[in-house]
This record gives sequence, C-alpha cells and structure tokens, in this order.
Amino acid sequence: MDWEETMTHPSDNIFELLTHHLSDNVLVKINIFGLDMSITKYVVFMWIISGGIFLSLYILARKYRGRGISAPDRTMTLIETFVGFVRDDIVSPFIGHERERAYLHFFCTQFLFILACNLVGLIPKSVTVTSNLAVTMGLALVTFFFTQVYGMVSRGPISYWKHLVPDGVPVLLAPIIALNEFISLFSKPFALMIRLFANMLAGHIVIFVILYLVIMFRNLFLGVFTVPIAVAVSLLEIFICVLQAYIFTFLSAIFVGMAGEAH
Amino acid sequence: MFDIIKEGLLQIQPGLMIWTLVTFGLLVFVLWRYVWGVILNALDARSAKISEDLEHARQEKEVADGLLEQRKKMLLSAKEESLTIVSRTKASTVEIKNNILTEAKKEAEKLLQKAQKDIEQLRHKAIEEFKADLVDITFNMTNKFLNKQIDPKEGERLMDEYLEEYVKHAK
Repeated sequence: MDWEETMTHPSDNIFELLTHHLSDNVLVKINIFGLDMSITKYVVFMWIISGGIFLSLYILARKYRGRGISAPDRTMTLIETFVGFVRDDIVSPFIGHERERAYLHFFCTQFLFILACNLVGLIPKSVTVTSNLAVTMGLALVTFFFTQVYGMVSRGPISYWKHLVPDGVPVLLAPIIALNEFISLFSKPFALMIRLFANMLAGHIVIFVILYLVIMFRNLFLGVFTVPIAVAVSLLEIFICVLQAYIFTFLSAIFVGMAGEAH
Repeated sequence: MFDIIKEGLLQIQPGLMIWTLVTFGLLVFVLWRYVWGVILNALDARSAKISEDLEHARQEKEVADGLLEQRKKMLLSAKEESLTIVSRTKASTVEIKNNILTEAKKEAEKLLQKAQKDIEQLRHKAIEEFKADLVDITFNMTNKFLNKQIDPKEGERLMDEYLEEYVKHAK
C-alpha cells in the first residue's frame, strides 16, 4: 500500500490497510500433494512463540532439577502460581482430582500458547496469530479431538457414542436428539474458534481505526485524543488477551470434562 | 469492502491450520516430555514435604500441648504445695512463738520466784543476824551495866558508844 495513495483517499483505503495489516505473507512456498503448506509470517511467529515458551520453561525445569524442593525464586513462584491456578480452577473441577495430573500439562500448554500468541500481537511490527481464523480453528480442532478421545477413553467408545441419545428418550424423539447432540459436538469447538478469533481481531481493529482517524481527518491535533485512547484500548487489550486465553482453556476443560461424564 | 474482508480476514488457509496443529502438538509433546514432568514432580514433592512438615508440626504441637498441660498441672500442684507449706509454716511458727513465749514466761516467773525467795531468805537471814547481834549487844550492855557503877551520863555515853560500834559492825 502506497502511503501517498492512502493520504489521497484515506476513507476508501482503510479496509485495504486493515486487511494488509492483518493478512498473512508467504515466506517460503511449499506445496505437498496439492495442499498449500507454505511457511508464512504467522507460521514463523507460531514457531518463535513455541520456541520461546519451550526455552524459557526448559531453563526453569533445569532450575527445578538443580534446586530440588527448596524455596522457589520469583520465576518458579510465577509458574507455580500459574500451574496451581490451571489445576485448581480449570482442570480439577471438570476433569476430577484423580485424573487432573494426566491432563494438566495439556491445559497448561494450551493456556500458555494462546496467552503468548495473544500478547505477542501487542508488540509493534509483530502479528497476532490468534486473530487468524485458521489458527483458532487449529486450536479448536485440538480441543475437539482431545474431547472425543477423552470421552471414548473415559467411558468406552460404545458408551460414549451411545450418549448421543440419552436413556429414557422416546423413540420418536431419538433421531432429533441424536442430531442435536451430534451438531453440538462441532458447535462447541466452533464457538471456541470464533470467540478467540473475533475477540483478538476486534481489539486490533479498534486500535487501528482509532489511530487511523488522524490520517482520515488529516489533522495531527487529533492525535492528542486518539493516541491516549489507543493506549487505553491497548491496556484493555492486555486484559482481553489474558481473559481469552483463560476462557478458551476453561471452556476446553468443560467440554473435555463433559465428554467424560454420563448424562 | 466485504469482498476484502471475506478474502482476507475470514479466509481459512488449510496449510496454516495444519501448521497450527503440528506446532501446537509438538509444543504439547516437548513440554510434556521435558518440562511439565519436572515442574509437576517438584510441585508434588514440595507439596508432600509441606504436608509432611505440617503433620510433623501438628504432632510436635500435640506433644508441646501435652507438655504444657503437664507443666501447668505441675505448676498448679507446686503452687498448692507451696501454699500448704506456707500455711503450715505459719501455723508452726505461731505455735513455736507461743511455746517460746510460754516457756519464757514460765522461766521468768521461776526466776522471779527464786529471786523473791532469795530475797526473803536473805532478809530472814539478816533479821536473824540482826536479832543475834541485838541479843549480843544487849547482853554485853547488860553485862557492862551490871558490872559497873555507871552514872546516867556515863550510861548514855556507853549507849552511844555501843550503838556506834554496832553500826560499824553492821556495815
């Protein structure tokens, strides 16, 4: 997008600018059996974030090996608080205290990954990978598969699929209920996908539009108002980043827990 | 405008979705393999240690409470004992004091009686001696009067002389 062109027709180009700002760029083109598996800016950021999470936690794990069970330092306290929170407030209430240990690492990773992806997007010149529908779909699919596997392992495959029609339902209603339950299997991860995507996208659009007002009205003085508002919205965005990571993990735990329980 | 949004923002790239699945799956695996196990084990170990310490502290507290109770009882018992000893000592002291006073009174009375008796004896002895002396004097005077013709003046002089002699003798 040419800056001169933007300044000439600012109101017409906001959507193009926004799309350009949020769209992905192909860095390395890869095609596997006709499927576009190109390495894009979003993929690279996901790798950077994953690498960062792994590296920092690996260093922390080494510290744990070295210190044993002695009093934790600040970073250890932070991660312990986080793990304690995920265990006591997210996993344990829905998965159960007996099985929480086996699934805790998944939910901790999910929470950290989404949180890091959300927060990294607030850094200028970076991208919010969770504001891309394909990424949130991928994350929702993980929850979907995890839910199905957990349900079948916990209750047995036959019992799990039989629960689509709960006991005591009249025969005439059974197909409708089964269809309804079947749709709900997909609507849950779909809701997760859309919620995270929409929230992360909306925050960026709001900040972008507020700052774009200066260009749109060609008035630098407007920046006196728009910049503090953008800062305030950015601060709110930090809160939303944490909240959305929490909601995604929390709802995932609920769905997984529900799959393991009989009606 | 909507075409731009539809093509840009709402477009799902299957490749990116698969990369997301792969990346996230790999992250879950490596964190499970190298990180969470260590951290969760350390947390469990610390939790167990804290529980053990708490249990130990609870037991120690129970022992301490027992000892405290025992000490309280001992203290109470010692207090009661000391009070008994004090009251007994007080009673004993009063009794001893009374005994000493009674004894002292008796002794003093005895001494008084003895002194009175001695005085009486001495007085009696003195009277007896005086009587004996008076008899001797009277006897001597009578003897002298009978052996000598004495005029009244001479008699008076002799009387004075004997009286003086008696006084000297008495001293």
